[in-house]
Amino acid sequence: MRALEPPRPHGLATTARALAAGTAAVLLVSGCGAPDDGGGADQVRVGLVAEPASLDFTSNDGAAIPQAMLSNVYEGLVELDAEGEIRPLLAEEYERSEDGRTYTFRLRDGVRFSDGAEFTAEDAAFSIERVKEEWTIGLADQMDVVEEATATDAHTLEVVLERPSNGWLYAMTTRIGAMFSRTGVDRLATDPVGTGPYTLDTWERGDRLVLRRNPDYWGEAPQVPTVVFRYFQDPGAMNRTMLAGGLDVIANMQEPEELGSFTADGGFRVVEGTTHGEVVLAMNNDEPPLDDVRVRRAVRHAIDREALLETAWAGHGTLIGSMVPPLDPWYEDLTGVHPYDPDRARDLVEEAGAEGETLRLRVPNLPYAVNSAQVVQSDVEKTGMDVEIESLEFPARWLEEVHGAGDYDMSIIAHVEPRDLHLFADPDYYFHYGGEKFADLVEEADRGSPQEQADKTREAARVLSEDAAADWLFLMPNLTVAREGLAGLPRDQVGEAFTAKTLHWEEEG
Amino acid sequence: MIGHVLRAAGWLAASLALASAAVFACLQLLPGDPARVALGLNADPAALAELRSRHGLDRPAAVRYLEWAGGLPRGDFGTSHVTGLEVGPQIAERAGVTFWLVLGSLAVAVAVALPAGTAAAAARGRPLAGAVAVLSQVGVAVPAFLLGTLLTYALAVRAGWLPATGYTALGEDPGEWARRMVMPWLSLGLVQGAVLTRFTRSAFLRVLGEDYVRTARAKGVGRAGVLLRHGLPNAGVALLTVIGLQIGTLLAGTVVVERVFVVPGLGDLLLRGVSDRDLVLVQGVVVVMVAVVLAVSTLSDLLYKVIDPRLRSAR
Repeated sequence: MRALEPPRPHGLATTARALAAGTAAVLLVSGCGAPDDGGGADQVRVGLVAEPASLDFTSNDGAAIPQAMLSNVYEGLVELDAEGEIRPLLAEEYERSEDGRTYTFRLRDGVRFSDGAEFTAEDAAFSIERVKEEWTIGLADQMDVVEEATATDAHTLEVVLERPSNGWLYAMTTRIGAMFSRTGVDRLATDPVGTGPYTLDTWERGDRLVLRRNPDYWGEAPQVPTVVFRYFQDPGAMNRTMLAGGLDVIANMQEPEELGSFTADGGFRVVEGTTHGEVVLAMNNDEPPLDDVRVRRAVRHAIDREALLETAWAGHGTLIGSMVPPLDPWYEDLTGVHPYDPDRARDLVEEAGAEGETLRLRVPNLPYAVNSAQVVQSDVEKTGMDVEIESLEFPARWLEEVHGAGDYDMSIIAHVEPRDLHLFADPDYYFHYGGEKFADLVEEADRGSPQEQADKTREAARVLSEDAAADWLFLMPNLTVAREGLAGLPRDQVGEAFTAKTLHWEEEG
Repeated sequence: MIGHVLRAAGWLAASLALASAAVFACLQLLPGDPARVALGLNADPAALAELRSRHGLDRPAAVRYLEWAGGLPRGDFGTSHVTGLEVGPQIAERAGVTFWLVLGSLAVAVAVALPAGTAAAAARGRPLAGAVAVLSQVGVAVPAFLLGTLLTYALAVRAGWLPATGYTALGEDPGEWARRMVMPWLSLGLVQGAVLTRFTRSAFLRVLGEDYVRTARAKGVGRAGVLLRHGLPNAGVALLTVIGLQIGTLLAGTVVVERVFVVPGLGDLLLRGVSDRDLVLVQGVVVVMVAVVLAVSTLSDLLYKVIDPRLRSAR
């Protein structure tokens, strides 16, 4: 085992000190003060990558929007707890009918939107209908299964589904289930109106988004009055700001090789949890030679995933063998289905007559994908096939050419949405996997009782892995760096949101 | 002189029109579908087509260009298809930030280059000149983002004197504003200053070789007097041109420096726009940057003629 301590920039620091001496004069003029902009017990400053383009997640798919808005500004009828279990939120309780098609939600009393309007069952029905009518993002089709949503009285909502669906209730914990005010949807891009523990205070584009505690919140008031999300396009700049005291948390560390700089002596704490982000080596199941299951299995046998994880993400993360992460209750360790076995890989390629074939590995220009691609290339080339790497700008070019047009043999991308196994069931989706048994299992799981759901999903994940519909390189870790004393951070990334209401500063001991 | 001004304004307008067409055409060739970026991984083709037609993206490029370019003289930069927000106000808000960044960097550059370049010219052949030559060579070779990163490690992470990143508006708190701009100014300014030092030195050397300088010296004017009275105005003309040309380089430099220090200027807006495929936003920002570069070079051309009467009569 190689030690993971990253090299500290000693040479850099010496040069830097020399530069510091040279520029000291200028600093005297500018005046020296506190380390960085005033941190303190009344606020938490969170460092995030990729600022949202707008705050409207009904028309823009960017993951940064629900990350900041959901569970802070907007709330749903149900939410996920820290273990990933569904529990009521704006609904006090809910009931599923015997046939599984009707859900009855009993809504909380005394909930108000930040514009003062009362939250009623009419708003809930409006919000659900609006997903079907007005939302434009692709995810909105998860609401298609709803036949009708009606307010039977001011605080009771009845939702009738076309068919029983476990996936629908889960989707209601995501942005799809966010509750909007009938009078507060005119300027979603800039002025969000929700029932959440925080409201939007200011949004200084290009720099920060500030949330302020909602004084009229129906639930327990959050302990931290102000939450500042600061956005960085450059992960290096985020790390330096954290080191210099300008941040209290890095929510999801993008440079795991730099984790060693954040030591306990420096007043930092690193928390490593897990996520739903499966880093998938996608294979085009439609195109030769990867339409041959033997070649796909050969690719899986060829890759030394443990070594790959070291290279791609500094050894942080989990090896998984299918599209189900350990956060899901039906997780099963499938890493042994096609273990690393270069000899077997070579035999399979020979058997399929695929020697000398060229595979185009077209990856997004993201660090984990580019790093992984090099390992995949060198491992797969040992089987007798050629691999050509092409790096495409993400998101625009990759989405259009690989994801949209399916112009690729292999690609690498993290599929971060929770419970996204079903993506493989659609033969038109860019994997072009057409396994009928798998598709049937996914549908039965969605219709079935909780026990059936677990059993069928587990079986589906196994079928998918045995068919080598793709390879699962690793599962993204949730690496959080926090200033000492900040508590209430979730260990795992169970949903889409960065939940601020549980954060608090521990008393100095 | 009025003729000069009118002619220059005409050229400026024509160049701007041409530039706007070039910018628009280039962005049409950029691969990647804006609708797909907005709607995400699972967007179905019908929704994509709907979004495109709602924003008129399915109309011919020439029609879209004329509509966009027609609004520019009125200050109407169009509405973003990605955010649904007007582009003009966003650019106006960011332009102020970049303006101060460029101006401050230029001040740093001139403050470094004038004394260093003059001294190097005056001390020709002595160790001081050699030192300036070496240092300016190093400065030319170091990219601004590297200098910025080193400065952050030194002044923010190690010393804790300055905030590593972030911005405070000038109107909100001028002291805090200056504290946050120091490192961006230095990163851009020192690198540009190195380039400028070399120009200053050679400009002064050229002037010092002129006949009128020898005459002045023969009349008993001291070394320093010659440098100030004859050297500065004459070398100034050459420098002004170089500074005019450097505005473009500085603007390009802001894109990187704004990213390193998380300064919400035009460069930051531009990078985000490209990544979101917010084409209306990108073409707006680029046109503004091109306009600034063209205007500055026209202006420095005119100033040149004001300072040096010989150039005026030449035409």
